[in-house]
Amino acid sequence: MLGLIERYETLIASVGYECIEARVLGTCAARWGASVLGELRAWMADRVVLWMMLPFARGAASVDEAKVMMQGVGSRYDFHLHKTLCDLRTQEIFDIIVDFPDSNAALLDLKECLQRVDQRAELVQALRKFNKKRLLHPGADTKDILTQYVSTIKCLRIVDPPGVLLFKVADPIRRYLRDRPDTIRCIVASLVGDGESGDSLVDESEPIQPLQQPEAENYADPDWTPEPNDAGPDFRAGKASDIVSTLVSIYDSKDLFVRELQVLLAQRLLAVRDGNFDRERRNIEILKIRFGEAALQVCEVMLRDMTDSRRIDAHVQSQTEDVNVMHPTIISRHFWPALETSDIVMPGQFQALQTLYARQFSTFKPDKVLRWLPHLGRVSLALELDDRTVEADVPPLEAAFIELFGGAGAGGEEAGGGDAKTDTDTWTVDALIARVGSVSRSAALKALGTWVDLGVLKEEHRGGEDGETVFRLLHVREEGDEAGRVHVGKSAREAEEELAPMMSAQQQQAEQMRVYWKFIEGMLTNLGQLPLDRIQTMLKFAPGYDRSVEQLGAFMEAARREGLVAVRDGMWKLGR
Amino acid sequence: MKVHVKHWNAVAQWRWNTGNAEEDDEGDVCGICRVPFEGCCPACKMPGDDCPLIWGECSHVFHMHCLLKWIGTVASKQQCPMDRRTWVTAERKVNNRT
Ligand SMILES: [Zn+2]
Ligand SMILES: [Zn+2]
Ligand SMILES: [Zn+2]
Repeated sequence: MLGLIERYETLIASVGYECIEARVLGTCAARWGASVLGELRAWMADRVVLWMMLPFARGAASVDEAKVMMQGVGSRYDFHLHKTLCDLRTQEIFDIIVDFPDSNAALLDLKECLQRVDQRAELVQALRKFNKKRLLHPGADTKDILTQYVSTIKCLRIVDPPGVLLFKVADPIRRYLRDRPDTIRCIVASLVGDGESGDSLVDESEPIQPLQQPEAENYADPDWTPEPNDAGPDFRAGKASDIVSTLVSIYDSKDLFVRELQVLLAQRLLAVRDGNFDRERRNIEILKIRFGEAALQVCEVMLRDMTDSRRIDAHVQSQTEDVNVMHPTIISRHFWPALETSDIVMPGQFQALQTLYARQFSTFKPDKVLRWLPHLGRVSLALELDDRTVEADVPPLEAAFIELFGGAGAGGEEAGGGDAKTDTDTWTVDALIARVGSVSRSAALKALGTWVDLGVLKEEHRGGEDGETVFRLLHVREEGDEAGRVHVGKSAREAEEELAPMMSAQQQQAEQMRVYWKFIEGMLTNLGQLPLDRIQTMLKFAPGYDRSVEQLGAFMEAARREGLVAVRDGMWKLGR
Repeated sequence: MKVHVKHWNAVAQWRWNTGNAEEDDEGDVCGICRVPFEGCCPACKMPGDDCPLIWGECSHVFHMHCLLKWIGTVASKQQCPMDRRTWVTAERKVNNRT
């Protein structure tokens, strides 16, 4: 009998191994919320050991003797248990990181397994492979890559506190991020809390501290420990940096971040409507701690420009009531990021307001003058039409155009006095551009599109379909223009007819989207194929792009029908 | 149609009124520190009223702090650094304008 057991020991052992594997895979796969090592060990003790007693400790006279007899096979099984779990968690590591912090227990198990089984190299290899396949490709959002990178940092610090594993895994991610055009912007947006999306890369709980530079090893540090032997020559130990320092260190210099911060702050401050920029002030204070006072000095000037503007405005408003709708932000040149300049000339009452305000300003500050940046800011308007009033909050170019339709052009050299009403009712794009000055055709069309969408203007073709395109003011809402009209108990036929103007609005948008076609064509040429949301993300870098992803989808669909693009499995590519 | 402006959140830059009504876009720089007038002198952090300009009878303009520092040196002999004429601070020329 004993001889038989010896002969079949390998077979029996392999049955045991399979049994362990089945148990681990069956009960632990995708279960990351709680530690499983404890229950696996209990199962080993209760079941597997009992079962092994028969073949391996058959002749034992006592429990102690049995234990000794079983030591060899027992430790082999224990090793196999850890190895199996380690393999499983290694295969699951990418999703475990996605799931963090809910997967914290699984990471602690993995840490324990790795102390028992040396499979650190396998873990690094697997995670690098998953990252390459699932993360570092053109279809992934930069924001998502950054989020996963930050989670990877946190997770691998749990598994391997010295940071060797992280160092090896992070390198390709960092290199990939460095080559992405929007990485800095994403990090910066997260640093100043971009408001809309709550998922900041940086924990609220993480203390705000100055950026850490990689430091030389400090052997005097009582916590110093020799580097693990798989560290490799490039590995720099050093204290684990905070997340922000780690992200900023993707780049060689923090200057890029500071510049991007200035741009972002400038955009935010100019967008402030209610005069409340406490949030930006708080952000600056936090960023000063991180990046240093000196780097944020120009931001201080920006903030002071904001308070000065309010003070100046209060004074101007106390002197005259003629400019009580105008509340400018007066900025210090050289201290704001280069704002795109434009020489558009605001017509009519807008120009009058500019002149009046500038005069009041120079009376208050006799050694200074104002120079308007007319393309920046927003205007709130109410258009009083024959049958309705349309309220709108628009960029200055839109306001300038509608002012011309409203008769600001009348009495000028171009428009004959007597015929003023008809003259200013209908404009070609070229005539509008000639009146307003340096503005691109696409920007002009976009501005006109705003009023078409609001049912204030109508695009027409003078002299048939191929005729010149003109925009006409709708003094009275046109039949068939359903915008804003309330229907009660409408019939199915009426509802059907209602679809027509919807379609034309969509076509209108498609027309405006054509401006962005060259961006899309460029990115598809360079990146091969992209999913829709990625195209949307990249288009946001095109000037003035403000379409929703649904609108983009409709446009891409139209482009597909024209054979410009093809789509497969949600990935768009050029269709030639 | 009547266009009512309810609120206009405009944007403007302030410039020193140096008399050059349409200076080129780069603007003028202080002859002492070479920093634009609308920037601030090397000793200051905030531009504008905190770091004002000073006009000389000779028609030269500088950051006030730059000129005072220069005049304080022995080498200056109290002269305008540009034309070596004795420095005389002008009445602010904008006052002539109004
Ligand atoms: Zn100076
Ligand atoms: Zn100064
Ligand atoms: Zn002089």
